[in-house]
Amino acid sequence: MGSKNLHLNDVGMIAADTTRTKAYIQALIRNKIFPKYVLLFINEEDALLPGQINDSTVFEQEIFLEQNKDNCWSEEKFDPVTSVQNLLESEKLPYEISPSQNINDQEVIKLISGRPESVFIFSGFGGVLLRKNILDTGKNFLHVHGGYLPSYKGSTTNYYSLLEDDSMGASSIFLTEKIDSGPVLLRRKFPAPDNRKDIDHVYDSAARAKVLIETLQCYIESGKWSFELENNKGGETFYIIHPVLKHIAILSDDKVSLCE
Amino acid sequence: MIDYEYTQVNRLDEPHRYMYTKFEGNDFLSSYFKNRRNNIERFQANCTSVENAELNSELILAAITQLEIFLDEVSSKTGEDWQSLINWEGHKLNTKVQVNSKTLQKMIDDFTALNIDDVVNTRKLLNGLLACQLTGDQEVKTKEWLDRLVQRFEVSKKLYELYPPGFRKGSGSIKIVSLYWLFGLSLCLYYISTGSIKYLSTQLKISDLLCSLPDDQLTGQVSSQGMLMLLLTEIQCIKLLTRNINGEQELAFK
Repeated sequence: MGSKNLHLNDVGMIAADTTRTKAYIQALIRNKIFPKYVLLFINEEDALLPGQINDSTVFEQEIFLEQNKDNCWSEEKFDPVTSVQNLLESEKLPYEISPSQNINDQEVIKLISGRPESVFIFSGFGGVLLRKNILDTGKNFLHVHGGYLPSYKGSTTNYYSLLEDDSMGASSIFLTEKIDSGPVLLRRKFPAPDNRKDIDHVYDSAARAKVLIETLQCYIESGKWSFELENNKGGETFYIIHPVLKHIAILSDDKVSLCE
Repeated sequence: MIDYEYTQVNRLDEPHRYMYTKFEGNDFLSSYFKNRRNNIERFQANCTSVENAELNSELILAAITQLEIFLDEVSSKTGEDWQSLINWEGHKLNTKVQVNSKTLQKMIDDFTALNIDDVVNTRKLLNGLLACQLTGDQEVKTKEWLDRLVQRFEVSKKLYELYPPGFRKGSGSIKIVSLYWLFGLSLCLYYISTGSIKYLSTQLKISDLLCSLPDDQLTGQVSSQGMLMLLLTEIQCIKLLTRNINGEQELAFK
């Protein structure tokens, strides 16, 4: 991929101020790939929204400074604290603050419909689903699901896959009305990370960022969006994992499959 | 010792969403085991109550046979006799109650007749699911219906008395406690036969809900033997999963 900046004229980004968005934007900057426009969603409430962290949260920074043992974790080294707005301004990326926190708001939909870009990288607040109105604008919303599709649809799937075969996954799709069932552009499996305690805000985001970059690189190389799996039917749908099982997934770090 | 928050308030009244739960290390697993031990002691004490003794006795007796096989296998792996953990012989269901195969067959027949385009009675659905699971009948339909119930419960954290055609948002009472126990038992049986952790996750949430209820909400709805069996099987499943934790501390339920 060379060292030249690549500006994607037909790609915008919908970016909520979450750790996942921070991982995405820093991965894009690191790989010199830039969306044409960013619509930024800022949380104006006092309480944190899903996907956000408290600025005083301490991560094990020494892990971030180690050499990558495996290229698949190349996007793990990101700053989870600096705000998305500051990141965009530091790189002088064109952005606009959304008039509403709710992506399904009519005013937001009108704004997105009026944009020239046909594809938007989607990184919203946790748990937010795009409704029919926005999906019917004709735009494609490129989302990276945190799990290997179609086997792992739904929520917190990486904890389930860690318990079942000590792996994580991420899959890029164009969003459709049916959750996690849109056509898969690219999907990848990842080995269990060294520090499982930071899966929620670091490694899950890093896996998704890696797949996002590879998806965009494929698009850049071929000039079109291609699909690894157009028919993304079947598989299993998972729900938020119970904390007892989440703890077992995190504490079981000897790479032995637990499900005998 | 940290508190196990998931049973601290009545979860029928105040459901827990389980979103972004924080990591608290081995202490959290210890608090879980302590919580379940306390509840097992509670239900053991209630076993003397005549009121609950015969509730759902057909299904419990059939389930006990299957679950005892599983628990014996776990005991051979862990080296721990599960019966001695709770003095099971002292609390076993009155074995004069015989499993009536006609009763179970009727439950299966009712289950077979269920149609997603009709109104579904949740008790009939759960009785039928359990009857199928306990007799090894209709495995494809079992998963299909169980998945629908899992989806409904996970979205709303409630089980409704009835579900309309299409099985979307339910109607009727959400406080029929026996339905939650029947669902928990079905999930437990499905997990131990398939190893699919998705079902154990939902079953843990059901157990949290049941353990969060005061005695007067359980009386007349769930037999203590039924609760004991569910919790004990759950604990053994979790113990099997924790065996591979590095530097495993004394997490064992005692």
